[in-house]
Amino acid sequence: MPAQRFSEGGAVAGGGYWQRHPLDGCNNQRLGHRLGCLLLVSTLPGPALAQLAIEGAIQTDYRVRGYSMSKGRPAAAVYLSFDHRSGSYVGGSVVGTIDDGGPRLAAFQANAGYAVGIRPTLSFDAGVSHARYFFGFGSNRDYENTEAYAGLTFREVSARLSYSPDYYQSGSRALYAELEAAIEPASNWLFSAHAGTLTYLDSPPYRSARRRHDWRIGASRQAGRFGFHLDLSGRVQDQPRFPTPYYVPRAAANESALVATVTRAF
Amino acid sequence: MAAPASAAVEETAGSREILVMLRMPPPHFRPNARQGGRYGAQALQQSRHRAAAGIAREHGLELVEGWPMPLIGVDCYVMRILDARPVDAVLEQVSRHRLVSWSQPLQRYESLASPAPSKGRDPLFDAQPAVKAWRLADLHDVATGRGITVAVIDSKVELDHPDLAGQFLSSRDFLSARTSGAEAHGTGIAGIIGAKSGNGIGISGIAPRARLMALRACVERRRSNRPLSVCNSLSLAKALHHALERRAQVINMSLSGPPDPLLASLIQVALDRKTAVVAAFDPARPGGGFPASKPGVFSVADESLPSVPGDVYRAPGRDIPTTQPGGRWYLVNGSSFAAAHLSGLLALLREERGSAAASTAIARDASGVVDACATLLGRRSSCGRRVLAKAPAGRLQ
Repeated sequence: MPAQRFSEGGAVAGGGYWQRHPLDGCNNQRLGHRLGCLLLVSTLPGPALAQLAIEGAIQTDYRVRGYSMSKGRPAAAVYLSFDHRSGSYVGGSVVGTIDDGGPRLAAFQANAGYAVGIRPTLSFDAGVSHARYFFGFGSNRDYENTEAYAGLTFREVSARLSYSPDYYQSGSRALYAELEAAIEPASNWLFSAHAGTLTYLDSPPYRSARRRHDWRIGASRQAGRFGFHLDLSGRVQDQPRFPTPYYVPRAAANESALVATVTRAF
Repeated sequence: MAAPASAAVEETAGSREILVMLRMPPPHFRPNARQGGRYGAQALQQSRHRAAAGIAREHGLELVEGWPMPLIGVDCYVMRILDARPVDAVLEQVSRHRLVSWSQPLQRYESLASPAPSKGRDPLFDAQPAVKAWRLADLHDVATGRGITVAVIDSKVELDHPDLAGQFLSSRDFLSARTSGAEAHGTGIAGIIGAKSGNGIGISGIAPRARLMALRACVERRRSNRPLSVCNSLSLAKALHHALERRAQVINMSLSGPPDPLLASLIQVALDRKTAVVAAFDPARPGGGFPASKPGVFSVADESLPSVPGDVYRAPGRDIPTTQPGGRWYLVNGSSFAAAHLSGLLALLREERGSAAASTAIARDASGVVDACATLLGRRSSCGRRVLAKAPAGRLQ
């Protein structure tokens, strides 16, 4: 019997919708191990450390493309990025949450790429990202995803296309297209919006729609090194190819959530 | 993005401060980013601030403040030289750092207002010269500057002056966070450009329906009887950057100083976008001073100056009634106010011609005196004959 693959899609309350994943028996990576990687960063030579952008965040929910990746629980994150003057860059993040009464690693992500400024207000970048989530899509399962991406940023608007050869281990290739924009209505205020569409290029996973959309609108206020953000995000998906035999409330397939976040730059 | 507390302009008078420009990385994908790096932008700015602090320590300088300039892809930092080293030597050393795009002196700029009339004269006893010389009423039959944004980069404008209240799209102060009262030079410039018309008081601006941006980048001092606005490279750059981000269509800079790479970069962005940049001509400086000397910038002098180079425009600049802080009006003189006249005319032209305005030449005679009627109304205009009659045997350009 081939290894079962998870099927994603609208998760009903309680997670009973999901099939078991072979890695279910694996424990999440210890949070301390991942944090140790961050400590190594702090030993970088001075000039390199000076070019490192570091940001911490605490948020009421950690969401990715319309899904909570922290089981709807508050999460804390550290983001790092390093830009070399050649245009190449690397970045990463570690996200933790609370599970079973203790801190647990929820996700880590790394990406590397190259950016080139076409004009001061227009840039192009391409790269590869890898992410692993240990409470993926509201479950206790971990999922991995590797994508190649390319995008354009013009002033306050950015567009990006990402390709995954095996989207979250679904056995299907997928394309994700996203558009993001922001306006600054007043000093230190920012309104932003995001829209994304995921399309499976092969047969979508069982009980999944071929296409799914996610969206987000948000407001941010910067106060010195601190940022205060409020986002409303959600997802909308087409009718699954094989609907579940029992009634799935539309609210479960098309979910939205309000997330508050506080960030601090270091 | 908020900048750290800025140093008072007065502290730059000794010219022991330099500007150091650090390259900004091009925006790119970041997992914590909302739109090209905005969410996470503070972290990026902090990293550059650390880099700037490191450069300052390495070269024995004091880091004073910083300001991002994304339109030209740099972060601008002010650093103070603490010892007796020559400024040029420090600039050369700092410029060699791999993270530094370029460094330059923090330069000083001054407005060009002539001494005020002696005490005892009525502050507003003549009609505006433009009413006769430019046939202002005829111009306003065609255009009033409606829908055109004019940035006034100067000292602090009295926003609630009776002849100016409601004329402003926005106002920003790019100097110290402390507030201070309105200042004469900026208030007067704003009045010439955009004072309300037909309100039964005061004067009529050249473009009374234009939307003004009051961008304070200069602080005013009094030198004998002459109000003098003093600005520096950074304060002007901040104001210019803001004006460009907010898509001002005309930018008035009634001031003059030495050539400046930072300001030149920003002005070039303006010119590339077909934004009109107007500056006052200073006969005491090479090329008329900067930014007037930059190709593409409208260099404007007081009509009463005996002679100016052929590429300089001449506009009314003598005994000009305009707005004064305290809700009053008074007479001013100087090329600063001549420049304001041309800024107003450019706003009228932009309303009338739209996108074609950028390629429309300003009509003037052989001595450079602007013919506003011919500029705005074309050859079919009947006004402007009086100006032509006064000019020596020359022809419209």
